[in-house]
Amino acid sequence: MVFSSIPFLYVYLPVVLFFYYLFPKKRKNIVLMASGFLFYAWGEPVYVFLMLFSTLLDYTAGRVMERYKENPKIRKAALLTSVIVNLSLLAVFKYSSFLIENVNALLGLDLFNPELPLPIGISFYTFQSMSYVIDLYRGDTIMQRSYISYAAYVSMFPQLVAGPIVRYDDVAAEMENRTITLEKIGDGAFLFAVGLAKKVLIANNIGPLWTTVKEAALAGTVPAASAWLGILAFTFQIYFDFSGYSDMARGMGKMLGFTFPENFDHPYTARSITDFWRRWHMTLSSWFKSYVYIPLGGNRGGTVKTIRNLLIVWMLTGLWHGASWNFLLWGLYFGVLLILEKFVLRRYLERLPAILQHGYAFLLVVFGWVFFEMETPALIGQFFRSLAGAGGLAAANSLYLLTTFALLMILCAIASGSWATALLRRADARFPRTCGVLRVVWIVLSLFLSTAFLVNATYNPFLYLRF
Amino acid sequence: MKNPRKLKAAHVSAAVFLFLIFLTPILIFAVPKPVFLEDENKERTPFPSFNLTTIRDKTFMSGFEDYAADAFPFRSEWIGLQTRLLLAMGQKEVNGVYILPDRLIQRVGEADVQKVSNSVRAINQFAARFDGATYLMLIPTAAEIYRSELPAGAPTLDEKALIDQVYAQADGLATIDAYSSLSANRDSSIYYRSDHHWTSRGAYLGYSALGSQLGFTAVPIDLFNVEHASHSFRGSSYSKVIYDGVEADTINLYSYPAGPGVTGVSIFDGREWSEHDGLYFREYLEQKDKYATFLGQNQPIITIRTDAPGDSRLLVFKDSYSHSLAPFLALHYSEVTLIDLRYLRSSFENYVDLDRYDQVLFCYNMSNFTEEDVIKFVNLEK
Repeated sequence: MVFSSIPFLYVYLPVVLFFYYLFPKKRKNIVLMASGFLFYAWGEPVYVFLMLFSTLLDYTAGRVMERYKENPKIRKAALLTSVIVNLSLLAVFKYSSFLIENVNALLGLDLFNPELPLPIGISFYTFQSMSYVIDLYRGDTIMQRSYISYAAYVSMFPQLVAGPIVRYDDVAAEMENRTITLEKIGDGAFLFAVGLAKKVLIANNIGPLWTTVKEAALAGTVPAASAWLGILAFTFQIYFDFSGYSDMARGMGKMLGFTFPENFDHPYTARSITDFWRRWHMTLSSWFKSYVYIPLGGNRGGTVKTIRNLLIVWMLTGLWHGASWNFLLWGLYFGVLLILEKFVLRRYLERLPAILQHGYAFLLVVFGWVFFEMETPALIGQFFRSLAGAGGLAAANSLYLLTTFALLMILCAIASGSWATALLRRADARFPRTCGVLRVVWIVLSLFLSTAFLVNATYNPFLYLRF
Repeated sequence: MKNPRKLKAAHVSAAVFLFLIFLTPILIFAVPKPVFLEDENKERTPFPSFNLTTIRDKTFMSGFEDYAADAFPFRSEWIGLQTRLLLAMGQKEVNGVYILPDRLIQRVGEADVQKVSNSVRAINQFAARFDGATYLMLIPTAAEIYRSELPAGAPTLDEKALIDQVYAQADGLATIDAYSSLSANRDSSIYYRSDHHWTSRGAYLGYSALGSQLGFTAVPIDLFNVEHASHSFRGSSYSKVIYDGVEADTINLYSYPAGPGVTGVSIFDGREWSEHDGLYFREYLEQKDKYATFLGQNQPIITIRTDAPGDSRLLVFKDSYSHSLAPFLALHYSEVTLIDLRYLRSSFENYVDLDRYDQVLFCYNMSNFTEEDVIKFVNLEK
């Protein structure tokens, strides 16, 4: 069940909120856990038991670590058990087919490939769950005594399948004690409405442009105009899709009394790739930084080690997005760019006019999406040739795509800038009352328009659900 | 509490949001809805059955999602709004339908080469085994005839080229050119504005084109009586977009009083035969799907018997385009049998004696011809 759907918006959400608000404060975590498991079971009626298992394991690991506080060996054993089991689950369900496929191809073997379907959101919730055990081991957070509260944290429906990746410590205090006010609900509703509009009105409507171009691009080269339109459409689609989803999650978190971390900060206004990754999927980058990059030694071991660490982190980041070569390439692509910026380019970049810095970063990010979307090196190469004009400059169909999507494209470009947020902040300070009313109008309008697109939705994917 | 005014607005936000999401489920579940969605011409999805099997294979979940969407209050108004919003955003095609100022045209996708070659091979094989004469007529859709009016560069199948290509591969049968006269008469209401079918006027052109090959002389069009049976037909294209910006269509029923009369219509629905009188099923004039006035809904087999002199019989493998064509054909044959291979999964010869027929016509519009893969069933073993 995606957030942007009739059953979620008008059946699941009201029912859950009804019980959640109805239950006394001490019992709200029960509603949270039950609704989380129900939400997950709706999409994965079988794999929901996997989530039950992994929460039980990590919860127990936490208890063991606390019980044997004085015994570093047992603590370490508990940590390793939990981390190994979590990573094994990820390996089995997400990476086994890929691995077996490649081993078979490389060694000419015929090992059995179980082709297990990927449990929805497994990459998100195993990472969240691991953050608890690791932080606890390091002494960065405190143990959760109640299984219900722990399971409620992992299975919390707003962030369960698509982030933001909420670390246990981010919400540890709120798991025990949180206040729900009408004001928070109102602010949450506004955030939710913003996210819903991004997803349903923008992402879902620009998406078909890329679908059309991609279909042609898989069959051969396409005219340059179509290729550029297509990859720009995907650039906007994935941003509005994913950031819209994160906004909805944060909005619902607020309605439930939580404060989730921000996940996007106008990534397409970045001035460098380094800057881009501070603004895109921020909770994932910070997870890898805390749990991989820094433990590896970060940038404290000299240039060579820093480069090694960056490459490891970015290969993993790539693979986190999916078990295939193109995601690995995508991660490496950014790893190399980040290393270049760090050691060579930065001082030159900083001297460029701002507009060139923006252009440089945006273009490289757009090229990055080619790696993300085209599954084999051959297709990636072919698409770059299309972008360069190997399939001609434009065809009649390019013109059709341009005329039918131009307006939406302009809207996307405007809406991905940071001006709206800045404007709102200033207007809020000067005309608080008018802005308050406008917020209410916006909530109604965005629900109304989104509903029109959802009642008969033929195209309503959610890109990050695959990861 | 530094800003009490903003606080108040957030309260209103909360109240409005909660009101909307709490009210809607009541409208979905508690307000009774008709079983048939007239505007979309489809049955409303019933509530799915709830048990371990349907949960495990997730049919309960998908069924519930379809149920909630179909039972949504003011469903067709929402779809109409969606169409208007997409048009405002610059789209020219919605849900596979090009929205032109004066008509709706359904896009025909790229042909599936495999399906087309299956069909061509099946027709050739059939012609080789059938003792009488075999004919093939492929009818272009409105998307081909009004190609020049589609938005510049809009993708739609080059139906004319494909027709030529298929005809070139036809072996042991005669092919009939429907394209030329349809194209020449493009300005005279030969397709419905809101439906994917040709009108009776369009079907008449197909009938005239058939005459010279099948060996009858088409009755001149001005000898027919034309009855304007309904002026409020909104067809399948309308149902896909719920867009009332183009005029409703007229259902015209042609009759030729001087010609032979229809003595009986037998319909086989896959289980049993039933009898109908006449070619026009007028009860459909009061319903949404007014095109079904022509011989009703698609059925596996329809046999029309007439008192035409002589004893010549025609068998037609067809889609729904032939329903408005049949009244014209019935003027020249003592028996016309229409077979829809989409609805038969065993050999048609279990129900119909092929040897009784003098001529066999394969008659398909290009949308069905390229999308369906059923003509191959014509050669199933008895």
